[in-house]
Amino acid sequence: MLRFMVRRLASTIPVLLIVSMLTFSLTNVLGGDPLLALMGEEEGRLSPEAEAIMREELGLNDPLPVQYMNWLLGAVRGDLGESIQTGQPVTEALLERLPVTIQLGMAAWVFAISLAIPLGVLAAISRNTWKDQAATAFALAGVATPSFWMGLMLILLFAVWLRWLPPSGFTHLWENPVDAAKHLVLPGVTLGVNLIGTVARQTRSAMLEVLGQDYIRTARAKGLGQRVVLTRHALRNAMLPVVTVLGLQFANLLGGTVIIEQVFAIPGVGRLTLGAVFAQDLPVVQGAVLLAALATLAGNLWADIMYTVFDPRIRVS
Amino acid sequence: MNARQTWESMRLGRRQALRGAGIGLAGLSAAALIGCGDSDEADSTTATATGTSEGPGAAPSVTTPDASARSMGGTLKVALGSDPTGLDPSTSRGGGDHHYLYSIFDNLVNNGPDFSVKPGLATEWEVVDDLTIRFKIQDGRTFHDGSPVTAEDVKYTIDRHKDPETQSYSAGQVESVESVEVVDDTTAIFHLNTITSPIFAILGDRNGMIMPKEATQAMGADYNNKPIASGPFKVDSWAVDANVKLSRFAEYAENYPYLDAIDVQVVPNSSVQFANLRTGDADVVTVDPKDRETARGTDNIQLHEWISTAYTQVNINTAVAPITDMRVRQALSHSLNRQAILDAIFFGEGEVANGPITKASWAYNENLLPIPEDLDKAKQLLDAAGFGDGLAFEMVIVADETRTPLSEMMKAQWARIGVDMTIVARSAEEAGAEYRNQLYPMFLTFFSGRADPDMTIYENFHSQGGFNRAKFNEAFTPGPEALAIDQKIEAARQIYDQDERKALYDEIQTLLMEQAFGILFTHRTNAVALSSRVEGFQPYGDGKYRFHELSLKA
Repeated sequence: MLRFMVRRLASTIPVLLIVSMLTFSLTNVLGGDPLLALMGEEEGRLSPEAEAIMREELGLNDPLPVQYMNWLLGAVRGDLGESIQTGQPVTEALLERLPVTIQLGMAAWVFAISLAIPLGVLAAISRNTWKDQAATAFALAGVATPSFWMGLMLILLFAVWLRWLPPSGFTHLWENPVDAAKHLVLPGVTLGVNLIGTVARQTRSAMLEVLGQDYIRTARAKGLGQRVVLTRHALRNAMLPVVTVLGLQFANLLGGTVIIEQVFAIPGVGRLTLGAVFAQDLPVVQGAVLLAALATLAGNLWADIMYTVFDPRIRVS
Repeated sequence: MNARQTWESMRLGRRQALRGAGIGLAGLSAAALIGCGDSDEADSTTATATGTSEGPGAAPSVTTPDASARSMGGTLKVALGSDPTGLDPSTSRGGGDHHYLYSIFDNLVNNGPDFSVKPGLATEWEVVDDLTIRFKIQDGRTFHDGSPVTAEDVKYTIDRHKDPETQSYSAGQVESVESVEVVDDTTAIFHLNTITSPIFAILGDRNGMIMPKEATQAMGADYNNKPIASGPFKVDSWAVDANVKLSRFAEYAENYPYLDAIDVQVVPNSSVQFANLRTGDADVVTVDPKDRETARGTDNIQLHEWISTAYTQVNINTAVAPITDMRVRQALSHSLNRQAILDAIFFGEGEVANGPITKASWAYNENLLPIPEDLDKAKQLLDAAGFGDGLAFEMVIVADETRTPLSEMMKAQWARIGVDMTIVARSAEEAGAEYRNQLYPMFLTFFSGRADPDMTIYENFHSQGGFNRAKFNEAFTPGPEALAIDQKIEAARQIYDQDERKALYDEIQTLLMEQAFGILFTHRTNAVALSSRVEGFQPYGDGKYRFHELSLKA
């Protein structure tokens, strides 16, 4: 298992290299000057002397390939450079915010799975009834609703009108679990709702397929009750494609945090990334993209490991 | 006439002081009297200022109109849209930074609500001659680390801005300060290299926030995150994208500031900020025009609205054809229905613009009427300019929820006189750079306005102004109309007498609008919503909050 994981990690190095090169060249090709972004449209302006010093310090005078190599040499040592806007080391900024985004992601994950799988099962066992249609409609509405709007509506309903939950902000789970949970509910639901549709649909079709198998008929013939058949025999086998989808959704979840964190004022990786893109803060954008690539990898790895849990015949090595 | 005038002259009315001192006198103290009218507010501040001669521990030189009635203590909860770009006055660069900085730093002198000069760390100043100003720092003022505020720190602050190594955005603002001379611990003399009528307004902004020499040097880059200053609040922590926490500087003054702490949450979305106010999770939020109606109708919310220095406009590059032709510009200006723009795009919030200086400033031209919509005249002008058969050009915009619909509305309005405008949408920095590089004749960009009319008018409309993009066109020479305006703008910045300056600015604004050097739409308003427990809110023309002046009902 360990060897498998190491091999998997090693195989992603070329991917990360290509991703970093693409980000670097795209950001530069698209044009724009981080210093212009820094100075803004009209607030204070730097004197030409000060601007020259700043360009030199940031290494903006070097040719692009040199800039990239410098960045890469740092990156292999874990040094992703410093933010142009704040001067904070990018690695530090990412590590500071990663726990925030992970907590948000987990909240969304837990919410989505705990709702989507029962919904999918329900739709499958009551195929073509109103229950199936209602479950499908609910799941699709979740996918179709823009999370930005959904977030605002949830705030209006649960924070402003009902006063059950705080409208925005964030507390770490280990600082104040109750407060943290309260703050995570609305963004977690908003982020998770998108996932529900995909997972529920996948669960439904996988369940339908499994329920038609011979061993299910055998299980029923043995006299096993519906619940045992569903949970022990059908669902477990139906989980494989669902796990694949969940693994692929890892990166999507990270993408979703860009908007959710903005709406709910959560200081996570998504907000850092958005700010960096607007400010053309290339080192931070690079770091965030690398992190996203790693998240995709982590999602796939997680799915591989989960396969062995659900189907002991599969050996990852 | 002896040029000497001291702060004591503030006790006379503005006109009395001018009469007593003669025209062109010592002018700086006349500038010091900018907008210091006859209101009760101004009087009470004067009293505070003269009261500071009591010595150490005296009341701070801030506007405290009803000090006796205010209760002490409590934590003010604020929701702002963005972090500061930094807490170091030299290197921070955002227009929203002042909301934080004014509570943390003391300025050498302050800008009052109407841009009149108010005492700061310096409670007395004396104009020795046109190029020399002597500031007297109040005895007994200390920085958050307990060290005294001295003239050496004042000198250090200005020198630090000017040093290219600091990479300060304030360097340009203090360019005219040749040097600061330290006479003794509490006396500093500013030597100017040119008459600078806006000098007090400049020092009342970020540029005049005094930094302690020793601590600033010792802290290095950390100063930007947790600066030591002498203002009423200390920085406890700043978590980027999350919050800034300030606590009362106990040694600031007796019974001031009122609050124990200020807790600013960074909430990017304006609707969510407003939701925080409604749920009681915030006491102070800036209100978007779209939320103002709700704010008006909600119990327990106080809404304050006031005209800001900001205006909305098309920035015109008079070096790019066909805008070089005044008749074309006039035609474009006359074919807009500004009231419709105000109503549709700005939700009716604000006023139709008559010039670049708004009612927030003493230099507002109350006799100047907005350019009226006149399609016949516009068509005649276009015809005379040789574009009777139509005219096509591009306008670059920063695409957002206001400027996109606004540009579409303008396109429709201009189409009525046969003008075909193409909208080019860009990101803010691309738009700025491309416009500067002469790619487009027009840029739909709004301007936040400045404390002194010179800062607004020179930068935007003088041939050498920083925001006048024609300046960046090497092949361009300004025409006679532009040169005539240049002369008047230069003359106005050489005069310290406010009445004389205003007469010139009245004239300049009339010319700018008639000759369409700018196409302005509206003057904007600031709006803040406060929870009902907040007391003592004072709107400032610059739209920046002074949280330290607030208190919470017991």
